Amino acid sequence: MSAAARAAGNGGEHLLEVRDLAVHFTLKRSLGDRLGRRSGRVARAVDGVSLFLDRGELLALVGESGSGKTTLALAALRLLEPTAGTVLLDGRDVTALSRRELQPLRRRAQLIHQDPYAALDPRLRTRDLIAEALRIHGLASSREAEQAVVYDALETVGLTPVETFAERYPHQLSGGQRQRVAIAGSLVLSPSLLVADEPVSMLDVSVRAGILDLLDRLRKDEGVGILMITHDLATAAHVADRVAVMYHGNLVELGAAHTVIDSPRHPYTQALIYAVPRVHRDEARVRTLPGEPPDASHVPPGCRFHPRCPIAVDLCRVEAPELLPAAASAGGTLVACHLRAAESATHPPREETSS
Amino acid sequence: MKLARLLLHRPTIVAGIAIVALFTLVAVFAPLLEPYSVGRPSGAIFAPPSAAHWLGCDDAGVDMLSLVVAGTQNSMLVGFAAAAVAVLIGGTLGILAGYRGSWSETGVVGVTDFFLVIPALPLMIVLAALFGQTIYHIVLVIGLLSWMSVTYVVRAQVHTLKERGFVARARSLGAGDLYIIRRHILPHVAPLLVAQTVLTVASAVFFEAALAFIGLGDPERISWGTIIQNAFLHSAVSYGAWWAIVPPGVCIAVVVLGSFLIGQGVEEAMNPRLGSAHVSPRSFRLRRPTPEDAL
Amino acid sequence: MSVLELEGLHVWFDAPDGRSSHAVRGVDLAVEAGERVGVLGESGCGKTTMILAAMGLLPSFASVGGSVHLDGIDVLAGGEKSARKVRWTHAAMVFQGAMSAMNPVHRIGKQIADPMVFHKRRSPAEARARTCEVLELVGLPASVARRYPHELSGGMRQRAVIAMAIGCEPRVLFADEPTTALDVVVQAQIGDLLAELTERLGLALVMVTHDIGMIAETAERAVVMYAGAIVEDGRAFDVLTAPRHPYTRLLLEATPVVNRERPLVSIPGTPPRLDEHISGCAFAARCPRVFEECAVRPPLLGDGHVVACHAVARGRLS
Repeated sequence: MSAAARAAGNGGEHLLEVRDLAVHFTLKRSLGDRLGRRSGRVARAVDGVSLFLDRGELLALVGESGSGKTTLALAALRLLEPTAGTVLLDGRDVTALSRRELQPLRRRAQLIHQDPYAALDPRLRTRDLIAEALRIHGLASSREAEQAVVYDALETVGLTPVETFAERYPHQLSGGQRQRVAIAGSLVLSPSLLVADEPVSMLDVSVRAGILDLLDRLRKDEGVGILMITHDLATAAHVADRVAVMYHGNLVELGAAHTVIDSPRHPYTQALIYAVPRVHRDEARVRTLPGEPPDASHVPPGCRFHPRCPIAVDLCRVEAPELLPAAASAGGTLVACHLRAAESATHPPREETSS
Repeated sequence: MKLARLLLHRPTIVAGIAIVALFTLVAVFAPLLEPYSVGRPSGAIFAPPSAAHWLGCDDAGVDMLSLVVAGTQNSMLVGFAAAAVAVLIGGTLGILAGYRGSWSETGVVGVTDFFLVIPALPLMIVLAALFGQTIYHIVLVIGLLSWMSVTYVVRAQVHTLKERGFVARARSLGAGDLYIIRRHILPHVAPLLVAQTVLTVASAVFFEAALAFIGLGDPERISWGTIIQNAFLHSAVSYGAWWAIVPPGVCIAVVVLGSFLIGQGVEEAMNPRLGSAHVSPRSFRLRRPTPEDAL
Repeated sequence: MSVLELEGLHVWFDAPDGRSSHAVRGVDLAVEAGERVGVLGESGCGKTTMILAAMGLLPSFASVGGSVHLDGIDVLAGGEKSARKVRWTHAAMVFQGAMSAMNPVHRIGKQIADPMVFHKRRSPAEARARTCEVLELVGLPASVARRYPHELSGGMRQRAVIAMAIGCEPRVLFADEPTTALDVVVQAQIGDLLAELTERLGLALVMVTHDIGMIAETAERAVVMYAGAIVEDGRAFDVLTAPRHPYTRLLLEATPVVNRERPLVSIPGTPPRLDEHISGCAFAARCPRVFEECAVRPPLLGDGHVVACHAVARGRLS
C-alpha cells in the first residue's frame, strides 16, 4: 500500500475504500502501430487513486470530463474492472470476487445514473421500475409486500400522492421526478452506499435543490454514504462534507469541503474555483487556464498538471507528486503537489513567489 | 398505447392492415365463403366469368372463385407458419448475436452469411424434392431459408438497446443477462419482430406459390400456387382462359403489397428519423396571431 | 435602427395528433449592434425556438406569427427564401455540441471556407486567406485547417464552429448553449472569446443559455424567459444582483454558488403545458405571491430594466 493510500485511508474500517486503484484501457492498435509492431496505447483513465468514504458522509468527487471521476466510481462498484488496486466494501476486499459472488453485494451499493431520461425503461410504470430491484434479487414475498416497499420508497423521495405516481409512465414525469424515481428504485434495496453520477447536471436549476436535499436527507436520516461525482464545484460546495479533486486520473486534492473550496491548495483546484463564473468579480483576475487537459493516452512525465501549472518547477516535470498533507492547512487537506505539501520524500517545501 | 396510436395515424399502415386482415379472415372462414364446392364441377370447362361464376371456371369446370377462396386458406397458413419459423430462428439468433457479442456474434454472423449466400429458391426446390411435399415440409423449408434478414435487423436493434440507459441501470441493480433480455430487450424488440413476421409472410406466400408452380407443392391441398400450376398444366393459356391464372396471381401480389405496407409503416413509426419531415423542402408556415394569443 | 428586431413573435408547433404547442408567445426584442445579450431560461421556455425563428430555421410543422427584421431584412415574410438570404451573411448561429454541427469527413478549413464561397461568392483563394484570418481571431493555429473535426478537442471544435460562423462577417451571432458540453475551464475560455470577438468585430451576440454564470461573465444584457415569453429584460448586472421578477429571483436562489452563503431553494411545481391555452400570468401557479391582477397577462413595463409582473408594476414587491 502506498504512502498516499495509507494517508487517505486513515486506518480503521470504512464503508468504501479504494487503495491505489488504477483503470487502464488498451486502445485498439492503429495500422501504424501494427506495422511498427508497437503495442496499443494505453489510456490511463484512473492511475493510482486512494480514498475512503464513511457512512452518513457525502464525498464529492470533482473533476472535468476526462478526469477519470466516472471511471473511478464505476470501478469502485465493480461495474468496470479495475486494472490494479483494491476495493473494499465494509472492510471486505471485493476486488477479485466473481460475478456471482458480487451479486448479493450489489444490494449494498447502488449507482444513480446521470441521465434520468435514459435510465428509466419507457415501457414500465413507476411501480415496476421501483420494484425491479426487488424482483431481481427475489426479495418480494408477495404483491402486497412489494407494493408496501414501493410506496414507502416513493414517500421517502417525496413523490406524493404515492398511489398516483406509482401508476405513471416515465414520459409523464419531469426530469426531477424521474431522478427521484431512479433514486427510489435504488433505495428499496436499503443500500449503505450510493454512488451518484452527476445526479443533477441534466436537470433544470430550479429542481436541483430538491434532489440535492434528498441526497442530504438520505445521508443524515438513513446514514447512507454518498459518493457524488460532479464537475460543478458549486454543487459540491452546497452538499458535500469532503471534496476530492481529480485531474487526469489522479487525485490532486482531498479534504473537508469548506477548506478545499475556501482555501484551495493545489494550483488546479485554484484554477477551477477561479474559473467558476460569478456575478461579482473583485479583481480583473485572469479567469482561464492555458492549454487543454491532456489526452488520457498521452500522459506527461512527472506531475500531470505541470504543462499548465503556473508554479511548476523542474522537479515537477520529472517526478509525480504523492498525495500528502498540505502545508499551512488547518483542516488536514491532502494535496499532490511538490510545492504545496508540508513535507515530501525528496525535498523540503519551498518558498513560492506567487500563490 | 402510444405505439398503436402512432400506427393508426398513417394511411399506409391502415391499408396494409386492412388487406392482410381481409385475407386472414377469408382464410379462416374459407369453407363458409366458397359459393360452390371445390370437389365437383359446377360449370363448363374454362367457362368465362359470368353472373353465376364471377371468376369463371377452371379446366375441370370447378368455380374459380371458390378455388381462390379455398386456396387462400393454405397459402395464408403456409405464409404465417413459415414466417413464424423464420422469425423464431432469426429472432433468437439476432438477440444472441446482438447481446452477447464477441465470439457468439461472429459465429452467428458467419452462419447467417453462409445461408444468405445460398440461392434460396433452388435450395428450397432441392429440399422439397428430397424430403417430401407435405405442407409441413414446405413450411419448414421456407422458414429455414427466410430467417437471415430477421437476424441482422434484430441484431442491430439489440446493439442499440444494449447501450441504453435502462439496461445499464438494470445491470447496476444486479440483474443478470437473462433477466435483462427477458424484461428489457425482448419487449423493445417485439414490435420489430412483429414487423419482420409480417414482411416474411409476404415472401413466404410468394415462395409457396413458386414451389407449387413447379409442382413441388402439397398435391393434396389447394393453394394459389397449385391453382396456377394446374391452369398451366391444362393449357389454360392456349384456351385464352386468363381467369384461371390471373386471380390467384393477383391475390399473391395484393397480400405481398399489404404486408409490405405494414412492415414499412411499422419501421417508420419506430424510427421517426426514417420519415422526411426534417428534410422537407416545405418551410414553416405563416400564421396570424389572434387577439387571444396575446392574453 | 436595431440590427435585430423581433416584433410580436409567435411560434407554434403542430403535433401529429392535431394539437398545437405555443412555444413562443408574443416576444418583442430589439438588439443593437455590438450588444451582448444573454437569454436565460430553463428547458422548454422557448429561448432556443426564438433564436431559431430569428434565422428562419424552423421545421415544416412549425408556424410563425409576427415579424423578425435582421439588419433591416424581413426574415419570415417570404418563408424559407427570405430566411435563406440572411443566413451566414447577416446572422450566423453557433450550436451546442460542435461535433454535430460539423461534417466529420471534411477538413476544418473546407468547412470554414464553404459558406464564404457559397454565400459571399468569394474565390477559393480569397476564402483560404480569410480562413486563416478567422482561425487567428478565434485563437486557433492555422494548422487546424488541415485537420478533421474528430482530431480536435471539444474546446477547439467549438472555436472552429465560431470561426465558421464569423467567416462571412455577419452582424448578429446567435449562440445556443455554446459552452454546455464543455469543461468549466474551457467554458471560461469560450466565454472570453465570444466577448472579445463581439467587441473587435462589432457583432451583436445573442446567447441562449441556462447557465447564469455564463451570462454574468459574458453578457451585458440579460433577458429572462418563462413559458414562451420574456419576463425580465435589463442590464445583466442589475438582473442578476437585483432581480425584479419573482421567477428570476427564485431561479437565482436555486443556483448553487461556490461561496455558499445561503441554502438552495427549488421552485415548486412545473412550468405550464404549452399545448393548452395559458390565461393570465404563466408563472402565477408557482409564484409565492399572487394577486387579483395576475389573472391577466402582465405586460413588460419599466424603464431600462423591464419586468412582466403586476405586483412589481404596482410597487407591491420590494
